[in-house]
Amino acid sequence: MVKTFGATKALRGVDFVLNRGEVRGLVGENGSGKSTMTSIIAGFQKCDSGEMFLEGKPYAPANVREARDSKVAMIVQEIGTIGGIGIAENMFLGEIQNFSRGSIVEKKKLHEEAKKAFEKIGVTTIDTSRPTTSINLEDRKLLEVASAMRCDPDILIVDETTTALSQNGREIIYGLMKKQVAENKSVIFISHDLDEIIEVCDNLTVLRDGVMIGDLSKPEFEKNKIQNMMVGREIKGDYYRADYDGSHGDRVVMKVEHLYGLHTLRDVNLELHEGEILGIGGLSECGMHELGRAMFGVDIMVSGQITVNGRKISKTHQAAAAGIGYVSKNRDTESLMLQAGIGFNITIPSLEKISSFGIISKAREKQYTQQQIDALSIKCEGGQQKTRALSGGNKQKVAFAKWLGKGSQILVFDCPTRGVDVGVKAAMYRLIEDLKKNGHAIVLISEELQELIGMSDRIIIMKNGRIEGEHLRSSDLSEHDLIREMI
Amino acid sequence: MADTGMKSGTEKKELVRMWLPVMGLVAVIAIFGIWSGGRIFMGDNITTIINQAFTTMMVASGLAMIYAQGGMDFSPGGVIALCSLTGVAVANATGSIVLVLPMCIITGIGCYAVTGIITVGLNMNPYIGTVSMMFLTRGIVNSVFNVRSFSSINLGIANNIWFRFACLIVIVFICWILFNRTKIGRASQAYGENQQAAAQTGMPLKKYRLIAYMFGGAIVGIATFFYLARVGNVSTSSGMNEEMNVITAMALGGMAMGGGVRTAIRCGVIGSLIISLLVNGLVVCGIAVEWTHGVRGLIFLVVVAISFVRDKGVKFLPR
Repeated sequence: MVKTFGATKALRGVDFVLNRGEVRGLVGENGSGKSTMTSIIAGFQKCDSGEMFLEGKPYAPANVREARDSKVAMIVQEIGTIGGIGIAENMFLGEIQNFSRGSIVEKKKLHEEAKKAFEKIGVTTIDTSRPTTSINLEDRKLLEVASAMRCDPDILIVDETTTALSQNGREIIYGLMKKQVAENKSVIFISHDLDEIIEVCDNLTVLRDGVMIGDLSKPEFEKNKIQNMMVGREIKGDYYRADYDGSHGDRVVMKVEHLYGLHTLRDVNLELHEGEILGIGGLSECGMHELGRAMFGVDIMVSGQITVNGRKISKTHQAAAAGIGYVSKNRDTESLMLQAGIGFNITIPSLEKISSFGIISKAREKQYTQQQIDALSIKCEGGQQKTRALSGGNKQKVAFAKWLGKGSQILVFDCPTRGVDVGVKAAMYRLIEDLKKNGHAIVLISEELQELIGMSDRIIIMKNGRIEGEHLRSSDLSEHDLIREMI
Repeated sequence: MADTGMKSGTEKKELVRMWLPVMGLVAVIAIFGIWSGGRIFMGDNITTIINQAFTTMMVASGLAMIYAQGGMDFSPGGVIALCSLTGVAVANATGSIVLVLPMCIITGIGCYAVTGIITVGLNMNPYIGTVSMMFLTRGIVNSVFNVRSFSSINLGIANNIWFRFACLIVIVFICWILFNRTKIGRASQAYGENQQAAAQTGMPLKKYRLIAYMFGGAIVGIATFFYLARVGNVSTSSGMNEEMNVITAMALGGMAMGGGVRTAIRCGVIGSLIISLLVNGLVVCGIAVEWTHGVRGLIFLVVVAISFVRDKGVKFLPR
């Protein structure tokens, strides 16, 4: 199977076999072709050459509905529902005519069917008559799951769905996957979380640069081995920081005092020092993301203050001027302008650096952009290339480059390695370590406890908007200690 | 450039977006050139075409940053009328034309500062601010004409076609610099592209956006000065329909109506030339002037329809 996007070959001759009654994991770095392959199987797009067989018969779905008629359904990585319409309407998108008498839609029947679909996957708490925007992202994901499961798929494709879900939602998906297997049906499971893959999959296919690298069966699963296959080189043992030296400069660079937010933050106090990596962890709704936004002046605060060198920060331009850089956890919607060129994104906070008398110099802009691309080894065709064409990891590097190029001394990274493959992840960790050595102060907000323990000089655990505990860097610190404070 | 790789669907679409308006311009020139037997290229007629495109081109260039922010402006016609009024009034009162240009510019900046404060400061839909400004300015002009009248003025050199032409090029170039090579232009494009991401660039967005509005006002003021030079006096129909001319020109020129990084100065320039050539070509070819209004309406409809197809998923009307 071959698929090309412009000059990028996403898939080059992949052979893939899925057997009945198995959960097959699909792993690979960002841009290795996982989503491309599965979306072809599910009828979202077509391949340029190659063929597919379903139960021995040639199979080439022209669109998603044809795929669903053949009992192949996919839950996509991105948001696949439309915000402005009702929940039930979303579920039966494209088949509303089945619920119509003449041109009138039978709402009651629609809601009943939607409810049934939810019950089928064991969800009873969602009111199908509400507008889709009124439910949270997790429930929207479940809506997609319910919608996909309606066709009783023989092949269910789960593309990084679990990362968006809490434990509860994950259990629902795991349950469905088990049921598929019990009914002698199949699942293709994509995830970046190797522990999860190892736990739920029977077999594993590794992709790299659009080529199949190998198949592994359950007894052969071993984290290091899989990682090596994914990146094609040895990943060294010191994935995180190797040292346990939590020392840093004495100078306080940022002070948060009695901060109360509109949503969750309650009386947060903390100090950030020069050369310190401050990890902030907790459950997703604990207020840590809001705290990160507050540090860059994105959200309005009710009371309290954040100061940098005595200057108060309440607007984003004050934050940027005070030397703060911020990479949002929603990289694609908040940190980057995907339609714009890489150069546009990288230079926009630092335009005065490449301007004389307020006019941007094209030559200096080009040079500056290339410097940043080289410094972070961003894989791209050049500064003019559209940012949306990059893989997740490289997009994240662009978001980093914005602030590193500007020379921001305080860097707030909210989930910097989310949806980033192991290769780029390791590079990010080295980068964060180097930044620390150069005296930058770093706030690392993360939902991955391993990452916090592995990288931080000091970890703050938040719960319900308050600081619940504080831990200094140590080799004894375990995830267990942190989880206890989180819940 | 050796480009052997295949272009993806979106890249192709972008190329179409860039070149379609240019092809449209070439097509219009070719069609009317042949139909009129070359008469549209006669010396005098070229002057007429430039004069007809003049105001729309200058105003569209000045307002490009507002369009880049995702705004749409319904007020330039009204603002031109008010600027004409203040310009002529100051000339009548002082008996000299020295203060006409400054007066037009100040009035333009004032009007757009108000629109800007309503839109940017109060965070309202740009539609509201500009439509109110349209009614406000028209209202003022009409009320003043109820109580007094003005005598014609002669703005001398501003009537010389070469001088006008040179000024037009300079102004469009200044607009281009501001749009592409300054923080204000970049901030406007970023804001139209993605408001949240723009906020997280750490730029003082409100300030830059407001400056973009006021700059637009200054250019409308300058355009009014040249308009006055040609028309010679102010009336209640001064600047009539200019807002529609500008919007049509933008759409014809391929402006992304939702704003963002795919907006460009060239859109208004190409679009205004197309309109001017079309209307002029029809007249030269013997079609009655009254019909040209109908043609304009038709073009507007077709262009909007095409923009819709090109911008699938992007709303035509401003946010």
